[in-house]
Amino acid sequence: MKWGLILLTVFASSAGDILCAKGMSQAGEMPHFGPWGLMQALRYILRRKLVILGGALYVTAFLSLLGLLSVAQLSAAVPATALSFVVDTLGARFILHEHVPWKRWAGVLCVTAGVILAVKSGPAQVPNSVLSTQSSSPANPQGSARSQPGPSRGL
Amino acid sequence: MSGTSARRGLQSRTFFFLATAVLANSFGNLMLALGMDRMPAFTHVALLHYMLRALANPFLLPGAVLTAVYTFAQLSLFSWADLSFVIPCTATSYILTTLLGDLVLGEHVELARWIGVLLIFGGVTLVARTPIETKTFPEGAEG
Repeated sequence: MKWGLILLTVFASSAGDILCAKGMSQAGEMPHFGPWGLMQALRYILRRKLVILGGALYVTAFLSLLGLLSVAQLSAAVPATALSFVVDTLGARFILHEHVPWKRWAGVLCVTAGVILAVKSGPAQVPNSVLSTQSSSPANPQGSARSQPGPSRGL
Repeated sequence: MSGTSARRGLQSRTFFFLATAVLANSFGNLMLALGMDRMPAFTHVALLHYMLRALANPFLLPGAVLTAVYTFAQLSLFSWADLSFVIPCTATSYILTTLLGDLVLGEHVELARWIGVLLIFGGVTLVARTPIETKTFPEGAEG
């Protein structure tokens, strides 16, 4: 169950990244729409099927991460999902045919190790003084949502 | 033809969008964390009640908007930069999120976590020294 959710989160998020990257780069660089061209830019994005599909995979990854967090500790779940950095790079190399120089590989491995270390050693249970005084509820049954250690990639 | 200036333009645009993505993601996470801290446990209340509480929460909606900005900036980056360039660079937000956790939320950040942050910084620096894009765009496309 736990491993299934980890694999689902990692592969859905990476597949989402790869599809979005493929969809967005198909027509070359996105045109510049100016400061008020947000709707035009949105239309440009929403017209790309691969990006829509990638977005659906992002949603899948997000829901699967939520499911994972209900059965595993945050400090164990997030490092496992950092695996998606490596899967992303493999996908970029072998599916998108990007040329990945050794510096990039070294960088990705460094980032992945850093994320694992940063999250593993996080203050999982220590409530912070600043907010726990403002929070009215004496108990926080879900653990501290605040100790969310890193960015939620692929949201 | 206009090689150097075009490259410089590409670099500054990439930097601008990366900075937007990282700032929006980190501050979005901060908002979501602050917001979720004020929410009841999910299993303890009815779904409708939970959703109404979420909408009334002063942090969750701005947090969601910032997350949308982050997604939008990242999608734009994908249109001209390599996936294997963008993804490790956006990991900078782990650094900013840790700093925000320390400074704003008063979380105690252990030494091992700072070492992790340094590793991320080193990794991002390595990736940033590689070309922004290595693929060739289809004919007729800009870039």
